[in-house]
Amino acid sequence: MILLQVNADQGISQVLFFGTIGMLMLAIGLIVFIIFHQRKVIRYQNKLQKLEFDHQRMLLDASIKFQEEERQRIAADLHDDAGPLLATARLYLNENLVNLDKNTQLQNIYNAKQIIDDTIQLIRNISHSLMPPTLKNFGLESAVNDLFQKINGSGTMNASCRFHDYRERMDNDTELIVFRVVQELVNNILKHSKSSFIHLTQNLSDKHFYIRLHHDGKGMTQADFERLSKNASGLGLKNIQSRLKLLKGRIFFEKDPSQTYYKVTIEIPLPENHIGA
Amino acid sequence: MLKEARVICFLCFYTILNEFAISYFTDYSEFVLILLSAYTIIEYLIFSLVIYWSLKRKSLKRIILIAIPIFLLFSLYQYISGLSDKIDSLSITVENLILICFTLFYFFEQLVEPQDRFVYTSFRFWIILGILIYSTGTFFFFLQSDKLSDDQWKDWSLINYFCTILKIIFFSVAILMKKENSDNISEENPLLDDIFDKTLEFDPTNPEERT
Repeated sequence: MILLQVNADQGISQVLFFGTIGMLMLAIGLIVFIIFHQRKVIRYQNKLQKLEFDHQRMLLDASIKFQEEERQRIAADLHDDAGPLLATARLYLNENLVNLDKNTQLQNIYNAKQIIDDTIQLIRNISHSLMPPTLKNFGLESAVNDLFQKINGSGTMNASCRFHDYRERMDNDTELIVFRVVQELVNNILKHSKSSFIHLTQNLSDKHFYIRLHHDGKGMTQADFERLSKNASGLGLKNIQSRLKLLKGRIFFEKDPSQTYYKVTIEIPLPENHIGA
Repeated sequence: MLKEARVICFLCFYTILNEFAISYFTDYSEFVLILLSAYTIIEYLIFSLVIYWSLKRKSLKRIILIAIPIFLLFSLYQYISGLSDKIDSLSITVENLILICFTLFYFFEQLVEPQDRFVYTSFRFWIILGILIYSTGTFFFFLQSDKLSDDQWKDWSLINYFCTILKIIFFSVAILMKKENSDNISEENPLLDDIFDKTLEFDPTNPEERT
């Protein structure tokens, strides 16, 4: 009987001892697991954040660099073209102060007028390159049509465009950004692709605005785009990316399954007031 | 002081008063049994409340709210039926089991919802850790307490004291920790922060820096 009692007491003690130790070990194990797991997750998150931050910085750099290049181009246009023209006009007018011959004076004034006309045209061209008046006054469709007509007119490439569903204009800023992206893409195609045609189509879905460019030259796939836009060079591509980011838009580069031409698709979410319009 | 800290402090004072009251009566009289049962219920309510405040998911919070009346009814039934003449062992065991589940809810949330800071930087973590360690550590002790003789009870009470000390230490860490201030987390572009930090380093009033 005593032996049984002793065994029972030992059993309770063992249950108590091992049970308590086991429970505590489980609890501590759980806590350790959670802490280590969380450290791993946070480290991974930080890595992702750093990558995203680096990418953002690269886009910012590209955007600043692009702005600087644009300013330099305008400065060069003004300094190299408008500056000498105005200086020459000034010379002609100065000549009138010295030379009192009527005929020579008239000739000088005529020459000065010609030069000032040229300067006005030059400044108009610079201004148009900064903000195309067609885009501001008549919208994206007209501006793109204009751009494609100019390409067609040059005779180097067959360019066509068709807007299927663009009854209601987007706001000016959005149109300008889309136009700049299209301009950049067309420039790239003209410069690098050696294609014989370029065709642009526009479409709308319930919530998105789409523009697609087709060409039959040497193009890019999405992988090429990702790779090149992460390079230190490739300012234009980064610029496209940062512009589209402003509109929360996306861009897809792909080769057609028929392998005969390349497609570039721009997708932009429609503003709230356009949805269902 | 935070509401969680206030509630935990209240529980600590209540525990001390309760221990004094129980030690005053040497035998397990009716009054002592009432004190013990009341302590179990109040402790359960306070721990549930603290865990409830720490959870984010409504479904988990709802489970805690549903479990409260069920546990209260169970404890009252245990007391009224007088199944135990020494300590409300079953009530405490059930309480521990439920609290372990509730603490697991908290840790589950920490695992599922990625945080931007380490879990141990939150004072709530230390409170929940205290509850978990105390509940798991004393689980078998209270489960077997009905079967223990008075001498064994005294010997094995060491587990209870040890776990209580651990619990109090963790609660103290939680109370002494600074309040998490989510408003201070800067979500701005760190690049801009860097730029502004650099400008602040420049002191225009210092002539040596005006070069």
